[in-house]
Formats: sequence, C-alpha cells, structure tokens
Amino acid sequence: MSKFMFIFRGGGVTVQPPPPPAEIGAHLAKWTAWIDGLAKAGHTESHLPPLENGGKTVRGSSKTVTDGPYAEAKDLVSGILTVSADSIEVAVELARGCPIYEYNGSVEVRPFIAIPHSAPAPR
Amino acid sequence: MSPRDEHALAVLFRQESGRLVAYLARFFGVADLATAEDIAQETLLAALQSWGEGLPSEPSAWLFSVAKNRARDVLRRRSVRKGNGAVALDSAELADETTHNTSDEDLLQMMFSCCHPSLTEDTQTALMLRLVCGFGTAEVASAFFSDPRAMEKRLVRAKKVLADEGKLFDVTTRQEANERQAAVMKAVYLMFDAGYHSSVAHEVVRSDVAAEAIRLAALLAESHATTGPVAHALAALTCLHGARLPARFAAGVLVPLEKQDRSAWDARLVALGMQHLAASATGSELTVFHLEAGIAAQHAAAGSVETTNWQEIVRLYDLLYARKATPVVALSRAIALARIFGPQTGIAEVLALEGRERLDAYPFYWAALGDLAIRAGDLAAARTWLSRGHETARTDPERDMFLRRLGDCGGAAS
Repeated sequence: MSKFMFIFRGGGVTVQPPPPPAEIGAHLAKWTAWIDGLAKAGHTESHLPPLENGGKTVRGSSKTVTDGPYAEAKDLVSGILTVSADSIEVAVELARGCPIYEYNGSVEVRPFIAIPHSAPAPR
Repeated sequence: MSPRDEHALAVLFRQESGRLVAYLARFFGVADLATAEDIAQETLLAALQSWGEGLPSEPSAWLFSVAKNRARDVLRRRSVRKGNGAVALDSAELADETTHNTSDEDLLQMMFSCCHPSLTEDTQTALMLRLVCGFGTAEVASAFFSDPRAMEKRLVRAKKVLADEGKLFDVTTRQEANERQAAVMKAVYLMFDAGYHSSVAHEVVRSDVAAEAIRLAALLAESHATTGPVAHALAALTCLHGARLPARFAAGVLVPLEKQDRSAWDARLVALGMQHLAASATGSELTVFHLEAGIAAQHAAAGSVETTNWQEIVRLYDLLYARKATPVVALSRAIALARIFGPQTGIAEVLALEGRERLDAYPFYWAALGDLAIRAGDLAAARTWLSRGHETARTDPERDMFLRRLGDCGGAAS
C-alpha cells in the first residue's frame, strides 16, 4: 500500500456566484457518500479538519506576509485528504469519484515518498 | 435522515437558509438584507466544507452558531471602521443562545415583512420563497413560469421596497399581525398553488414549494399572534390538497383524480388537515379557505370517485362561487355536477360557463371537456378537445397527459 495526498482545489466552496442552498445541500450529500465510501473501503489515512478559505501567505527572502492565498477561486486549495491505495492508478480512480468536478474543481493526487523503515539495530 | 439523502439535505439547507436570513435580519435590518443573505450563504458553505464526514448532532445549532460568529465579526469590523472603538455587539441579542425558540418568530417577522402592501401578490409570494424558504432565484422563477433574469430583477426591486420601509414588520401581538395577516395568508395560498397546480420542469422543486406552503401555513395556525379559524382553514386546505400530491404525479405524468392511487395519499397530512379543519370551524366566518378545505376534505375522506359525496361538493362549490366567481371555480363545479347528473350535463354546463372564453388557454379546461366526452362515448369530440388542450399545454407533464388521453380515444383529431 502507498500513501497519497489528495489536494482539492476550487469546487463548490469557492465557486462564484455561490450555489443556491438546495444545491449546496445536495452537493454535500455527494461528498459524505464519497468520503464514507473511501473510509468503508479502508482507504482513509488521516482526517484533517477543514480549511478556511482565507489565511496568510509568507513569501520571499523578505518573508513578506500578505493576506489570503491570492489564488483564483478555481486554484484555491479547498481541502486535503490522505488516502492509501495500491498504486497511483487506483488512487486516481478514487479521486475520479469525488464530487468536486460538479463545480469545476480539481483533485491533485500526490504520492508520498516511501521512506524505508530503518533496519533494527544490530545486537 | 441519512446524510447521503440528497433531497433531504437540499431541503434542510433551503429551510436553514431561510431561518438564518430571518435571524440575521435582526442584526442587519431590512436595509441590509444583502449582508444577512451573504452570511447565511457563507455559513452553508462552511457546512459544506466541514460536514463531509457526517452531519453534526445538531446541524441547526451548528449553523446558527457559525452564523452568529460571522455576524459578530462583520459588526465588529464595521464598528472599528466607524471609529466607535468599543464594540457594542455582545449585546443581549447576539449573546443569547435561545435561537431555536425565537427562530419561528423570526420567520413570521420575515413573512410579514415580505408582504409589503406596495408589492403585488405574486411578488410577495416570490419574495417569501426566496427569503423565508431559501429557494434560489432560478427555482423561484420556475415556480412562476418566469425567466430567471426577470425574476432576479423583480426580487431586487422588492428587496429595495423592504429596505425603504426601514424595519422588519413586528408580529408580536395579534393587533400588529392583523394589519397584514390577510395578505400573508394569501401569499402562502399562492405559494401552495404554485407548487400544486403548476407543473414546472423540476417535479422535485414543485412539490418542495407545496411542502413549504404547508409548513408556513402550519406556522401561522400555531403561532399565538396569527392563529385563528381562518389560519387553521388555510392550513387544512394545504394539508388536505398536499396529501394527494404523491399520487398526482406518477413517473412525471399528471394523473387525474379518478385514476389516482389513493393508497399513495399521505395519511399523515390527511389526519393533520382534518385536525386543522376541525379547529377552523370555531369562528363565524366562512371563508374561501374554509370552503376549499371542505372540498378537499370530501375527497380525502372518500375511498373512491364513486363513493365521493358529490352533492356536498357541489354545495360547497356553490358557496365558493358566491365568494370567488372565477371560471376555474365554475369549471370545477361543473365537473362535480357531472358526477351526479352524468357527463352530458357536465359538457352542457362547461360550454355554458360564464367567462368561458377566459379558459381557452387553460389546459385543464380542455382536459375536463375531453374526459367528459370520453365518458359520454363521444370520442370524436374528445379528440377535438384534447387536441386543443395539447396546444395549450405549458410543460411536458401536461403535454404527456394530453397525449395519453388522446391515446385512450384512438389518437389525435385529424
């Protein structure tokens, strides 16, 4: 099993204009179904709390602090999730089941580098 | 409720949106409904962001608490910008935790505010769907056969009227409520009508509109400032007609009363409607709502078309026509009359209706004539009338209804 990070960008939480209430509710139902499916199939690795849309960015040698991630809505990181899967192909297939594409979002699938476990110290 | 149930969550979010806007309007006033709507919107998006792994145990409390925090932030920022320094917003209201007890009052206030006398009845209803019930502009537009952009303009203008009023309409006492109660009940009635009679593209939205009208009518019937025989009559009529909705559309096709599967009628709504009907009989006033509820009750209580008390229904229609002399009421009366005296009598009645020409564009006029002709064995006349009806049909379910009945009598008129 390998581990992957799903980086969600854009989607229902950033789309402009925001969807009407009923659409948000119906869309949420699809997310809970997808996330529930991942957990039941044993793919879920870590649960991180959800992200706010706003924040600060520290950048450059001057370590300038600016308000907010000034990305366009569709590029704004809207969430992260760690999953396990046999291969990147399987992970991509899992990502294809995400409902984020309904609102033109994207899922970046990034494998974690597998660091070998250190051998037990010789006696 | 299963969190996977898309429709249940759609309804929850819509209703909570209305409750949030009504609650937030307390702090931002009618002059700044836009901010209230924005915060409600952001709150729902925060839920979308946070509830992926499942709903909190008390979704409504979660939403109100997020909304309250956001409202506090906005007010604080404004206060700082004005240089007020001290922030006067940990006021009793923002701090109070009793949002649940007061949210019905908030909804009532917003309902009454939407029924501003300088708005047309349709606009009052549309505004209520938008602000109190949380329907999106496109959904409101479809309930009124309107173009979404035209509806958006109408809603913007209507909100401007509310803003000019300066404050929410107070519904604490019966005296205050009286001033607009008739208009509010009419708006709820029209809302129900839009959900019951119109056959908008999305069947789900249509029945949701009717369900919202049932909810608001019940709120009026049960709130201390607005309750009374007439409010109960309105609640009764929405429940008793609403009970038939599950059978009225089968697989997207409009099913006439005599062909409806009565076991699919909502028994809970029938029972609730009968309770409201009993409670409506306490006053001396016999309103249009009473009569329409009485007619619906006759249908709800009958096991079949054959065992329906048509004499009583005709009597109620006569009383109704005396108060509401519209061709549609006359048409319904003629249809009931045909159940007693036969289809030929019905056809003669329908053709002799006062204001008949106003029904030319009304699909159910032609459907009624077609049905009566089929029952009278005059298939040629039925084909002619049903073909006329097919031309007037406004939506696919209506068109399907005519094509089906034309099929019953051997195809369209040549």
